Amino acid sequence: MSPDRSERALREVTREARTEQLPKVDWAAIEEQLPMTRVHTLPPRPRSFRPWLVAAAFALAGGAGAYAFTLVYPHAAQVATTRVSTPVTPPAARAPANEDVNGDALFVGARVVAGDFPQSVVHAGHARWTLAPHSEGTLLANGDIVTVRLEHGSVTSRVVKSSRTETFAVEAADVRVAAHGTEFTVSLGADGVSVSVTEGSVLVGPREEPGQGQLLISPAAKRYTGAALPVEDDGSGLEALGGHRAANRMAAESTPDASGSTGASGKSSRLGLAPPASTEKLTARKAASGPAAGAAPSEVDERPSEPSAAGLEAATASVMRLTQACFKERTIAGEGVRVTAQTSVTFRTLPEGGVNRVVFEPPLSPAVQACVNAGMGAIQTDATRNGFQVSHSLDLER
Amino acid sequence: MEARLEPPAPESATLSVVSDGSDLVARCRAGEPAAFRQLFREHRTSVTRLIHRMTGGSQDLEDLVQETFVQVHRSLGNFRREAQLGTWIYRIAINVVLMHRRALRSRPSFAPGPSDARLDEEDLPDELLARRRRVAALYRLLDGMSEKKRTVYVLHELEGLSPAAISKLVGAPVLTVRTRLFYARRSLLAELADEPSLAALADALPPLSDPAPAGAEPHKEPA
Repeated sequence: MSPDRSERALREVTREARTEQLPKVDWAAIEEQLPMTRVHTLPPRPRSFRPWLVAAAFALAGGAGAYAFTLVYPHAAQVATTRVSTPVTPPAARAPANEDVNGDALFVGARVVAGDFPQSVVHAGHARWTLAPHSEGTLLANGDIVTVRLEHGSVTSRVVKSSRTETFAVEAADVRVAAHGTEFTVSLGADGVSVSVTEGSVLVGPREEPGQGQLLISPAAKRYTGAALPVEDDGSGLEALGGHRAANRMAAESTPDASGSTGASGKSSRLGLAPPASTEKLTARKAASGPAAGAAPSEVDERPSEPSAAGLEAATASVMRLTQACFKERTIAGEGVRVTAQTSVTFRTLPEGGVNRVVFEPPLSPAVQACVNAGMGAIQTDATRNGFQVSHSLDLER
Repeated sequence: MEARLEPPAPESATLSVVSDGSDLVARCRAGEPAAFRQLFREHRTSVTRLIHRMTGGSQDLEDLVQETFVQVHRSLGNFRREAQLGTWIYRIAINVVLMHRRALRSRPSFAPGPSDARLDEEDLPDELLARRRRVAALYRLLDGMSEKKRTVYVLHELEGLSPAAISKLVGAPVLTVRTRLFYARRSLLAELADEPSLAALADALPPLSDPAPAGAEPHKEPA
């Protein structure tokens, strides 16, 4: 067969398929089953409860004739099986338990529902997200940045580290949790969105403003309201977070200044600033655990609530200089070899002055990290009532 | 302005003007009982046609149509108007079909794929029967293709959607869509001879130099 004839035959049969008449469809029967006539979604009924299915089962069990019919006309059996499927159960939920779903084959808008077992979706070489039992998620974006919307329940995500700033995000209610290379859990409840980071860091911010928000560094756990504002978490919010609950609670309590609200991070300056939440309970806990020297509970704290912009700029510049110096000193390379690195640094200013918890994402070498840690003590900031979180991108060169 | 997802087909030609969906969605969200019925009636033909073509005439057509509209109903609260309502419903229908096919693959199958055996039961004129067999053969070839290639081929060649519109539906760049389309066509051409009805069609075609027979309809590329 010549290629020309094949192409023309293909065009012809495609045209025939295009103009083919639709098979007859019983619109009334479909319409009757649609939820428009049922204001509330009905729970899926066990198939055995369908009277006509029971009758069909009896008929099938009735004799060899029915059995033979099923063998000869397998389609007939398929139709009977399919028709009893309840309309409230999406096909996505029908994957066998514990069988991973290939996320790369899913199209945008695909809804994944976990039944009685967790359901994992794998994007090869990129990320794995696992819905807890009876949770539901929708794939909003697939590709360089995978975005999942948590409809309800809980999802745990493990994201492969990447040189890109953001490769994976989970949206829940109005909160967006973006990851770089990390493991974290997002749970959507009536009281807000709980985020638990067990490895790496995530950026938590408003759903409508990707790239903005607060960096949550592991191990940590926070609950967020609709505006991505953290609410106080004295442990109650962590109760539902599962395996890393104890560690997360300890971390959250040991670093009360780690909490923050949606910051005024600006993309133009590449500087993200996130003031912490200042709920009354949180402030009281800080005061009880370690107030500033000379401060009594009844005294008015005259310290500014947060560092000045100039102070933060100075602290950021100091951290960057220190990092650059450590990178030059501790990076091993041959003569004439130029080594560059792109990363982002996140640190917190302490209420009593100074900075701590410097985190690079993606991480730098242990030698550089140790060098930076050793030099952080020399950086001073003004004392404030609350700590402050700063993130900044860095281009390093040796 | 995004292209409408209402390809020119005989079935859709009988429909009245389809609303832009914004008012309809609002009414559905407000819980108006008649609103979803109207939505269903406006989109059921295009959805059914798409599912029929994507499944190659599956016996589960009605169930899949129903499933699609159930999901539409459930997800209306999440419809962000970033796409037209028709596009959004198409996307849901595609996902429903893909999930269905995946579920079928994961279950043991006792039935062959799309077959033209059922056609023998009907009393059809020879030409119509031959034509249906050719279409069934095409669907068999499509059935053996990867999901991605088959999807773009059906959406472009049968549904008449542009690569740009398809890229929005499947969440892939336009260039990727074109690439999948190219490989889908190549795959079909390579396997065309395996289907006797299609091979016979190719053999029966006149040489290219011959003038086209009177009344032959030239092929028109979809928009």
